[in-house]
Amino acid sequence: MLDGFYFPPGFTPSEPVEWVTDSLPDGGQIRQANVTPVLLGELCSYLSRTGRDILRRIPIRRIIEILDLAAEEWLTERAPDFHEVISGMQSATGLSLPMTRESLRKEQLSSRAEQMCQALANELGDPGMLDGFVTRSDGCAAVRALGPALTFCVLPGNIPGLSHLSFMRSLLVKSSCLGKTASGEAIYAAAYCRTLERIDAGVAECVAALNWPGGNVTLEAEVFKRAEAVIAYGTAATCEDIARRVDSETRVILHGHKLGFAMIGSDSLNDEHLADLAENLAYDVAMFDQQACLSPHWIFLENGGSVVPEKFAEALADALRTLEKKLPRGEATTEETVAFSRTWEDAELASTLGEPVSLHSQRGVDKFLVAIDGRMPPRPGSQGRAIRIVPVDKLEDVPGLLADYKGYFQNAAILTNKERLFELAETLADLGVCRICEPGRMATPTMMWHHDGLPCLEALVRYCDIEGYDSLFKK
Amino acid sequence: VTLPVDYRFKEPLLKEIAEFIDEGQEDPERLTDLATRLARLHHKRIQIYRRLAELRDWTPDMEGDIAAIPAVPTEAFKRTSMNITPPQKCTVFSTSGTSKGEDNRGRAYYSPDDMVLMDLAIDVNARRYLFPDYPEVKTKLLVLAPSPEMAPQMVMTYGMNRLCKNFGLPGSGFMFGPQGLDVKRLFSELEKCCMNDVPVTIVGASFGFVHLFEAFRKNKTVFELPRGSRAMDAGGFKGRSREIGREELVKSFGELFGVERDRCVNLLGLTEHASQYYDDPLAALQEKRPAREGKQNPPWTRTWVVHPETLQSLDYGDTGLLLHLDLANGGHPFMVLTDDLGLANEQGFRVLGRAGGSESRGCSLTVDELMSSKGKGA
Repeated sequence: MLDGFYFPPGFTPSEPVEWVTDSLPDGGQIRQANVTPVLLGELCSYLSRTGRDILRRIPIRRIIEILDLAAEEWLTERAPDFHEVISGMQSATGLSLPMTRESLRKEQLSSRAEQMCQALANELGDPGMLDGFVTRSDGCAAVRALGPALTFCVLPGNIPGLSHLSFMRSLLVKSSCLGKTASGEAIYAAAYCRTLERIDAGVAECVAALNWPGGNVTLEAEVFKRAEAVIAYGTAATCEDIARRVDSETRVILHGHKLGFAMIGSDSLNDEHLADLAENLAYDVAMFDQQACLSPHWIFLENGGSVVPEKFAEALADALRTLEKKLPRGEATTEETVAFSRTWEDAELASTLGEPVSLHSQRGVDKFLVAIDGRMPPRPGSQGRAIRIVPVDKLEDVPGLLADYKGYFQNAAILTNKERLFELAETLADLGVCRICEPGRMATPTMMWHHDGLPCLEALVRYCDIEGYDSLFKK
Repeated sequence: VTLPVDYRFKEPLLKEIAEFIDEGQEDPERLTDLATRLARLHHKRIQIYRRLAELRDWTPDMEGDIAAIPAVPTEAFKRTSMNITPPQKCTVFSTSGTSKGEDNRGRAYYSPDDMVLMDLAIDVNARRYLFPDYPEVKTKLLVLAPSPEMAPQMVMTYGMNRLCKNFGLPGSGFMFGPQGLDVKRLFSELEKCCMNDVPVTIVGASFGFVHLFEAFRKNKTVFELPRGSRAMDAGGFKGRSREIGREELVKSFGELFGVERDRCVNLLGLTEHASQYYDDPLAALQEKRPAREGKQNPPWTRTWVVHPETLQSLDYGDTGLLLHLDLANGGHPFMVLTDDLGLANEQGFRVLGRAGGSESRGCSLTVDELMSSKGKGA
C-alpha cells in the first residue's frame, strides 16, 4: 500500500494521527492521514519553524544539489517505490503507463541543477542573496532575499510528476512547503518528499504532503493564518475561492486553467518538412492527453502554402496514429468521454450540414479527433486528443479571432520566419499568451519560463536592501 | 385499440408500423424488418441522415443488426429540421431549452403520419403500463402541467392531454393557471374525489412534484386518495440525483396521497421520440407477476446503452449513453442518441441523468469553463 501523505520525521502531533484507506481505480490502495484542524495547525507551525531554523541555514548551492539528486533518483528509476508510484499514478490519473512515465521523465528532465541555477540567476541575479546580504549589481548597496517561512501549495491534479515543482519552487527560496494533493493524484507529492528524506534529513523536516477535500474552510483557515505564501492550481472558481479566504499579507500565486494553440505559417510549411512538423504537433496534442494548460486545442494553418489543409490533416492524423502506439491515450472518465464525443458529434453534424468542416480521423477506430474546422469564430473542442485545424488567410488574423478569450491562453507554438514570429509574439503577448515555442516543445517548458507570466521564484521572495552608506560601498 | 380506420397514411410502411404498434406484441423479426425498411426510407428522404450514414459506413442494403443503423444525436435536432415530409406540414415540438436560450432548443418535426403513430404509441403504452385495469377502473386525471393551449410546443403536455381524453373521467384536466400550478383548485379537486370515492391519476413533471410536496408539508395537508388511484411522474430532477429524488418522491406519494409504491410509475418521454418508456409496477400488478426493474421497452422500440465515443453497445451494468430505437418516429429520425447517461440489465434500462460537462482533471481549460467565463475585457 502506498502512503499518500508525508510528515516531517521530527514532527510529533499532540493527538495521534488516524489513517483512512482510499481505493485506486485499479483496486490498489492508498493510505491517507485523517486531517483535523488541530493536526494541520500544529504541522503548519512546525514547518514554519523548520523553514526559519533549518532551511535558511542550508546554503542555496546545497539545496540545488539536493533537488538535483532527487530528480536523478526519479530519472534513473532508483526510487525504491518507483514502480509502485508509477502504477499508482497511472491508475489515479487514468493516463496510460507509457504516458505516465513520459510525463514524469519530462518533468524531472527540466528539474536539474543547470535549470535551477539558470532560473535563479534569471530571476534573482545572484542566488547568494538567499544565503545572506550580497552586493547589489550597481555596486552601491547590499541586498538580501528572504523566502516565506512556509508556502502552502494546492497541487495540480492530473499531470503525473508535476506536483514536485511546487516543492522545488518553495525550497529554492528556502521556504518550507506544505502540499495539499489533488484527490485525482494524491501519490507523487508524498513519494517526492520521501526522496528528499533519503537525500537530506534537514530538508525532509521542511516538507509535508496531505490530502483533504479542497475548499474545507475550517481546515484551510488553519493553513491560511500560518502560511506566508500560497500557490494554487485549479479552476477559476477554485482560484477565486482561495483568493477570497487568504489575508492581504499573504503572497498568493494562482494558476488557473488555461488553453494553448499552434500557428503554422504558409512560409514554413512544405512537403519536405510535413512529416516532421506533423510528428511534433502530434506530440504536443497527445502529451498529457491534452489535459495540460500548455496543450494545443487549435492549429491555425495559413492558407497559400504548398501543403493544402487536407494533406496536413492527414499527416497529423497519421502521426497521432503512430504516436498512439508509443504513448497510448489513457482511460477517460465517462464525463470526459462524453465531452470528447460531443466534439466529434459537433464536427460530424457540421460536416453533414454542409458547414466548412471535414473529419480526418475515424470515430470508434482512432483514439483522437482531427478535423479541419473553418467555422468562425473558432470553437474550442474537448480534451483527450481532439484537435481542430483552422485554416486562416493570414496568421496575423489569429489574435483577432481569439480576442473573446483574452486572458485564458497560456502557450502558443508558432512556426514561421523569425521576423514574423516576433511580430506575432508581440500581439499574442497582449492577448495573455505567456509562452511561445517551437512545435513539439509545447509540453516541455523550462524552469526559466514565467509560468502564467509570473516569475516562479521571485514572486515568493521579499527583499531587504542596505543602501545609503557611501562609505561602505564603492562604485 | 385505437388505430383510426379512416386515416390514410401517406407512406405505406408507416401503416405497417401502425399495425405493429396497435397489436402491441413482441415480434423481434418484424421489428428488425420494419426498422431496416424505415432506415432505408429515411436514408432516401432525409439528406442529413444520408450523410450521417455515410460517416457511419452504413448503406441501405445492409440487413440484420438493427443496432448498426445510424443514430442521430439529439444535438442534430437543435440544428436542423428532419422529416421525410416538408417542415411546413409538420407539428413542431421543442425541448424546454436551457439557460443558453431559445436557440439551443431541440425541435422535433412530426408529420401528420407521425402524429397518428404517436397517438397510437401513447394509447397502447398507457393502456399497458398506466391503465392496465381500464375500463374496469376509471380514474380522474389531474395533470400538474400547463395545458396544450398554454404550451403547444411541449410534447409532454400533448401526451397528457391525450391520456385525459382517452382514459380520464369527465373533469380530468390540467391544474395550471396563468400563475403556474393552481394549488387551490388541485386541493378542491382532490377533496371532491375523496368525498365521492373517485380514484385519481395524478400526473406531472417529477421536479414539479417536489414543489407541490413542499406546499403540502407546509400546510400539513394529507390526502387518502380512493382505491385505484395512482401517480405518474415524468422526467427527472433538476440539479439532484435522479435516484434520490425519485425515492423521496415515491415516499411522498405514499405519505401525502396514500398512493402505494406499486402504483407509482415514472415515465421517460423525449421530445424527439413519439413513444414513452414506463416503469413496470402497475402492469406487473395487473398481470400478477413481479415487476421488472427499470424502464420498459414496448415491442416497437429498443434501447441500447452505448459507449459515447465508439457508439458500440455496452454490456449490462456498464454506464453509457442511451440510444433509443422507436418505430413510432415514422417520418423523423427513429434511432436517436440521447444526452442521457444510463445503464441496462435484462429487465429494463435506467436513466442516471444528463451527461454534463466535466471539470478538467488537468490544468487545461475545458469548453464549459471557457464558455462560462468568456473573456476578460476583450
